[in-house]
Amino acid sequence: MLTYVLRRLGQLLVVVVLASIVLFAALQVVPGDPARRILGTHASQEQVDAKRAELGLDRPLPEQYLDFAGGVPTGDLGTSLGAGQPVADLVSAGLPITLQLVLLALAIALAAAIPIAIASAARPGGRVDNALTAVTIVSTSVPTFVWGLSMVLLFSLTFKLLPSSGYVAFGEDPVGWLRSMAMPAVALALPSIGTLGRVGRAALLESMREPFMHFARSKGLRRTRLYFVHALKHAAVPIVAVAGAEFAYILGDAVVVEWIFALPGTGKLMVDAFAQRDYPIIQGVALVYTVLVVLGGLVADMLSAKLDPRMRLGVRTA
Amino acid sequence: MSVVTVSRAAAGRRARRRPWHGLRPLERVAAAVLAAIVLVALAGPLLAPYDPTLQRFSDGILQPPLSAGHLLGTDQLARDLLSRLIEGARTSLAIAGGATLMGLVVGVLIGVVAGFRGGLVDTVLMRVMDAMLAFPALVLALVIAASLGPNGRNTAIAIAVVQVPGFARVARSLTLRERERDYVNAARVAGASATRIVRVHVIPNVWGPIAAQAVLALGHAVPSEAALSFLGLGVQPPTPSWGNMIAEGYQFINKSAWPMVLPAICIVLTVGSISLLADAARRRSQEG
Repeated sequence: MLTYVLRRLGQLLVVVVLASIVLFAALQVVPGDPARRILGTHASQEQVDAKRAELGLDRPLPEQYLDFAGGVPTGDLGTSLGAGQPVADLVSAGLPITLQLVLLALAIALAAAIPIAIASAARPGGRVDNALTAVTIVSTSVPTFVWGLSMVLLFSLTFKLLPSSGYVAFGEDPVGWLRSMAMPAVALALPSIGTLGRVGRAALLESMREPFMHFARSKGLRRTRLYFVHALKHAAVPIVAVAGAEFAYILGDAVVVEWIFALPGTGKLMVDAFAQRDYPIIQGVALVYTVLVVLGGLVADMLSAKLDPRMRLGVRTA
Repeated sequence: MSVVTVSRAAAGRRARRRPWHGLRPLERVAAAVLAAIVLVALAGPLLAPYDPTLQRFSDGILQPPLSAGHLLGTDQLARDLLSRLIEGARTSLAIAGGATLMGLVVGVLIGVVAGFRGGLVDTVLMRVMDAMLAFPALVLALVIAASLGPNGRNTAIAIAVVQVPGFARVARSLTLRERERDYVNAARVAGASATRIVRVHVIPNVWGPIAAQAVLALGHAVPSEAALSFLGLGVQPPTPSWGNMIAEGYQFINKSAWPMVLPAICIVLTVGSISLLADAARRRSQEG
């Protein structure tokens, strides 16, 4: 297991390094000069040149890249153009909030999707299955930010139940935290509920056909135990794999959702940085997100290996 | 489920099948809804009762639907919402469709080259694709859109770039499978060049799953455009797109919800129809 994890970590390091190159390249096509933008249009050419030298923008691109990438392992993500703060400080202030939101959303999605999948798979083609299929189609077809806005319209403006924006730390006021997180987390979870529900349904239907299920059924096990223990354990591998992919989607969509609900996470940090064209912040947040996505994939793979020994031992099955 | 019986029944009349054969009832509704939306978008200016940017303050701002002269009411600048929704459909669908087409062409090209050449070319290309997939899709689109500058064309490019790895992976795995087939070897023995084998023999045979991937990608492209324009990094006002209409409507949500809700409904109908059809397309590509 350890060598498996180490080998995977090595591959993932390559992916992250390549991603940082992709990111660096994508941000090179920016029109206009960051130095000119900081100093304004009235600055003289000498001042602009001096600023460019100060920011290191006059050096060759590979050198600039190495400068950026070289600092990353030591936790240096560069300096924000606007406030002059280290990007790493800004990111580490926002990241806990984003992670709380994303993990809460993923937990809600799994908690809702698994019962939906079981209820659907218990009687495929039945009335419950058809109704739940319709629900999952709707929940995936509404974009996350539209879910968020609709909930603000419904729960904040019409019924005045929940605050439409703002963040309360869990340590200060757990109920206030839940009230500030409820709508954004559910908005992020809803599309994933649909996806995970449908994947779970398909996986459960497959496991129902396995011989061990016939055996368990003939032992006279109760249906709850049959579905929640025997079938679910077998179906867990694809569910975990898709949950890993959903984590990346939720992390991306959280950018818009944090902005709508004014949650001071890294997503809002990035959207605000777009408006101010503060590229070091954008670069830093995006790079941290690739590391999170890659780690999310690794966790999903490790869970799969835990659930399915064939994967861990490298056994090939037909 | 009845997957087995469906495929057996479909196999018999596969030779000349109309596009709507094999669709389930709900999927036929979805196809009709999507066709209607696309037709309205194409016919756009012929159907729109007003110029979408015309401000008629004499008709009142933020009027509800069914008010005098405006079937769906007006927005905060007294512009006709129906006309704006139609124009917005043109913008949003053109960006989503254009992005998917660009993503398909570039992605399939990369995938086929990687799969057919193999070796170092394959490794390098697919590692770069992996690196792109390490970004949350929306984040990569936002970074590219922001760095190119916010406008409709750049939004399409940003969404297309995000779609490239998906197409490349599908195309590569299919090409690897086809490469070993006898007909490819036969063509090679007959002296066909690699380009000709790919163009004449491989691509037509891998078309089905790629089309299924395209429908799926289109279903992601519509909400991506909306999200980018909503954040102000996509289509810029006064040009309407469904995304920036939602953003503008959200600012006046305390006075009237219609300017936000109507474009949201358009997005949901479009994405819902596309995702139902994506299921059908995937089913069909598995049968074939």
